[in-house]
Amino acid sequence: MFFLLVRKELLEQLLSLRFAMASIICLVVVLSSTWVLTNDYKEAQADYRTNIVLNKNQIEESNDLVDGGIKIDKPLNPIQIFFKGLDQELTTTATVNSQSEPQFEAGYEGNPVIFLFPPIDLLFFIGVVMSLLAIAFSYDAISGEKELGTLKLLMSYSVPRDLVLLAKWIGGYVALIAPFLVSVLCGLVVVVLFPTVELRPQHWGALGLIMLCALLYLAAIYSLGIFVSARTQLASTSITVLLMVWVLVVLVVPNTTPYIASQIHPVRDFVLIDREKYQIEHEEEKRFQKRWNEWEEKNQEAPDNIRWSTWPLMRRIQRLRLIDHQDKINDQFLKQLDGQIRLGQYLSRISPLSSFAYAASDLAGTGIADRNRFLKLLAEYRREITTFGFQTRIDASLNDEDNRTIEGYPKFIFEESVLGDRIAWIDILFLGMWNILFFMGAYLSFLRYDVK
Amino acid sequence: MLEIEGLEKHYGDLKAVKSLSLTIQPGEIFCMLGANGAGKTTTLMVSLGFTDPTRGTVKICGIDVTRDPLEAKKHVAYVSENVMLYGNFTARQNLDFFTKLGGVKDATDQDYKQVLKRVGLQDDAFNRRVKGFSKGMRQKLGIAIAIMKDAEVILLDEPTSGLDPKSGAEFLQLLNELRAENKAIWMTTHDIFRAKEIADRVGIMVAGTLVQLLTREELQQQDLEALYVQYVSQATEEAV
Amino acid sequence: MLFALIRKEIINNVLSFRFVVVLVLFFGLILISIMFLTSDHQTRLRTHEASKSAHRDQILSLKGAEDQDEQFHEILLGGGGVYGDRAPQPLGIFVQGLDENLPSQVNTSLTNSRKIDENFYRNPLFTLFATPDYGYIVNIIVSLLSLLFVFDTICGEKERGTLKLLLANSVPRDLVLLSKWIGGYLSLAIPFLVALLAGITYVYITGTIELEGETLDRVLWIVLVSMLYVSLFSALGIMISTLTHNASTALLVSLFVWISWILVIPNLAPVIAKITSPVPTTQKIQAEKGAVDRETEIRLQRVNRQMLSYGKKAEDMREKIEQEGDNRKKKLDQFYQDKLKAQIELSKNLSRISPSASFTYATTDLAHTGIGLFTSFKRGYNRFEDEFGTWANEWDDTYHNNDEKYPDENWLQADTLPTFKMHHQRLDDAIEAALMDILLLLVFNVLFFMLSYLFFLRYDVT
Repeated sequence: MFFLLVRKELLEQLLSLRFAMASIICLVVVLSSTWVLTNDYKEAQADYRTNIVLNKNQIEESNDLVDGGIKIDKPLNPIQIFFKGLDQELTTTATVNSQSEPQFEAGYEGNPVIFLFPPIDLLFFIGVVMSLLAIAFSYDAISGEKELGTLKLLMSYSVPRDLVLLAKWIGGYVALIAPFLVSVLCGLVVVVLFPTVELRPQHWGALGLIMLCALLYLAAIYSLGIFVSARTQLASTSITVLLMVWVLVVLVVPNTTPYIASQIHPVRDFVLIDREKYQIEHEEEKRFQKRWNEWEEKNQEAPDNIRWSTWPLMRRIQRLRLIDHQDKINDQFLKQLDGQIRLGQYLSRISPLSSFAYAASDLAGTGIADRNRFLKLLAEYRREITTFGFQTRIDASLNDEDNRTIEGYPKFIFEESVLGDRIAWIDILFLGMWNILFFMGAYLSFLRYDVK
Repeated sequence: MLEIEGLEKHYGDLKAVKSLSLTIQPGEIFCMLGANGAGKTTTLMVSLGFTDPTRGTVKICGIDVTRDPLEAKKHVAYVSENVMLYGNFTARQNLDFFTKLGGVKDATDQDYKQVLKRVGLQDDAFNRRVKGFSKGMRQKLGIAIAIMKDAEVILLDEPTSGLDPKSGAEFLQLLNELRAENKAIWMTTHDIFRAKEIADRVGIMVAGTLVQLLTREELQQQDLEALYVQYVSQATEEAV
Repeated sequence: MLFALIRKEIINNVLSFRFVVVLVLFFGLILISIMFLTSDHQTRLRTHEASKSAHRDQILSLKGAEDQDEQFHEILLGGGGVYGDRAPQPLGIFVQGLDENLPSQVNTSLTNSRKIDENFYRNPLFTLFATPDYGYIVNIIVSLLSLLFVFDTICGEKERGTLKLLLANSVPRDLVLLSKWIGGYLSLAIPFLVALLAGITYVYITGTIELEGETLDRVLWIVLVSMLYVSLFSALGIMISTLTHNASTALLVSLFVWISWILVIPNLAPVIAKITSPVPTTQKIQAEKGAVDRETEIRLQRVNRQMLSYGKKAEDMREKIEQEGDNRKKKLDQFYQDKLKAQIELSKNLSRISPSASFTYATTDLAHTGIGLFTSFKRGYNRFEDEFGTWANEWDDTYHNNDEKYPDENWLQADTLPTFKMHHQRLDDAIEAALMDILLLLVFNVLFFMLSYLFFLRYDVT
């Protein structure tokens, strides 16, 4: 009997207009956005390769790591074709030098329309579009069938209510996710067909886990739809209530909670922090000049090579100390900011979309943790090239060489973090909790539902 | 058999059904007449387990509907006033679904075609989507579904409303056949003439109370129409 | 008769559950959005003032410094350079647009510009989800709510059976349609306007921005564009209602149209433009400019080897070579700007298929937080860089020509120091920039209404 009920629900959904509509939307949007974003990725790969060569040429030509610094490009992440995350652009170029903190290419150099209309990635599609479709598939599951009059007939048969509810849930959910999964699969085929895009096993793993989170998220919204349907008598009431909830949960809560968090847990003004760093730079410079002048006075008789090598030696010490100061200030700030971020995240988790967004961005390697890791690695790299750069100067001066060389200079290595470390268990837990809550709500409501 | 004993149903202060006791035997057609809001449909809803009685019991084939609704429903078939079915499904698909749901697993397409013919639906309706059906066609399909269930008790809510005279006559013929198959049939209706023609017994319900219960013999002797109008007018005056 | 019909529509709407939901959401969302963004604006203003003050103090401290060498070095010879500050756009409270994407501080110096990476200090959660400014609320949420308020105004009435009853009277169909449009629109527009007024009042009371003169005019224009946008969705909803015969179908069609037209199309357009009209990266341009510099250097060296280093002929030759180098670099810059401009135009035009894009462009133009701001900023920054370059080189020459002696101790005058200024856009220019998009919104309105009219004349009411 249960399979009979599920079959009927599924068949009903498959024959409906909403299924046709969902199929069209899924296929058109996922395929077009995947194609477009994959092309974009291809361009980004070309830019990346060009940049690597240009940067290499530039650094070898300048033969100096200390003053000019070195430009590095963050390796591309193919998952960004599907989940953009925090990075608006696919390519990230930073100039790392010993004097100042890493500087990123200004975002306002490119096309500003992209800031007004960010590209649709799967996070947007699943989070906003698919969730709206989930509402469209579930809002009249109970109330609509009652209005139609078929619920009465159905319940006049010897069918337990829990089976009816479960069958409705399964039939509708399968009909909802079928076109979605098919189109994502087609999207993956598009990506795989692009010869330059390389999806390694860890990428497939991440994508698989993200898809599971997506299914969990959609199940939660779908269950919410069934729940509301089981609490109302008219489909028009269900849809009105559900759309109000959807607007709040998907379009409002995730967007407003960072503002609330910034009010409750403000961070230090960046102007003040910058001034502090500027003051320290200034003071360190003064201290260095004073030390150098003192040393020079004491060591006027010293041979040239000693004098010329002492300067970069002392400079290196000063720079590393400056970097320590700056990093300490940054760490303090980031700790404060982290508090604000955490608060914002906790507040926003009342919306299943927030949980899904955090889980998906973390798994994709485009989330907050990865951003912080990249910044930390940049800071470490800055130390490395400072040490190396000054050492080449010291060596050249000691050996009375005119030509110093930066051969063998340290390269910036950014490896993807382990997939296991990126799983956001708390968000998955929240998604699971919403599922259970809404399904139980639907279940209990339907047991007492007035079918006549 | 349908046994109603001391049934009362209250909605707050409103007493929709007041102390109804009635037994419909197998092979009997019982028609319940009454104005809108008299309590006929409420009685039906309680019998189907859609709402619990305030007092009293309803038993279908000896099974208390309130205590064991799932078991009781195995023995009852229901046709609502305005039959609504799954519009995107064909007549065949609707029949198949409800027949299997009713526990009849071995029904074939031939059986479905036969029952559709029996209720007066054309052959071409078999594979047509129900959303294109007229009210009368849906009504007939609803009756076909009830027949396929082969339940001992059949509950009909205004089954002839929307049927043309020919179809109405065909329907009465069908009821006769079902009576001959020993079904206990409860029919709520406004159609006094058909009630007089087909019923073994007729009840008149006014404001929740069964005010008159007439056997076939008594029906022949009385002017049912005048009686009905009299009771309904009285009830209206009292209400005002 | 029209008045009676309109009255009936309004009463029907106002007594519905839907109206309550729409009312609560309009008020709640518009007010919350304006409150948050007002608070955010106040914070940014404070930061801006603090920044201006800090930069002023820096200059003043240098003036008082005993060591002129330090002053000179600090500003000219590879030191910190000069800073400029950009105030947050006042109407960013309503339509943030690109305001937060552009830096609030700029810096220029003869060597490296010392940029502050403002993104480092920003909470990344703001990037993950769209800013819930008034523009977003209207663009995304109000459009959906407006559509869903009227989607079943015809087909729903048909389903209920009252349409038949209505048209069984001597009522012309066009009046019925007009009354539905007016009634539906007024039921939406009045709560919307009241909510917006409450928001504007809040801004006025907090005194965060001066709501008078041109600023107030801009706000009024934004209100007008918003009303046009709401009306568009009313008309669209009614049109969908005249194309369908039951409410559930109309609902699905409305959702389908909204998802495709408002969510998907405007966001696909810029990426399509990026692919079909690509722009070289700034790195590539920098690299090519670097190549030009190297070539110029080689040519200059050749001149120095072939001719006497001094003498007018050599001098003229060197000047010519440098000029050619500069021209080539300018051409590269121009090439980049042209390519970028073409891509921007293409993205805008492609996205204009959706009224969401027109609404965004019109409101950001009027609030001066859109592409106009972006262009103003870039121009202002380039001018700032050029002015500083000229000013710095002049002082550098003075230093060298003065036998490497320091200039007059009063050389560092605040009023001669180059400043970062952005061209103030006049309201007329803003309206001109927004005109095309406003017209497009108007065209969509007329189109949907006309189509509704045509479809309803033939609508089967049975």
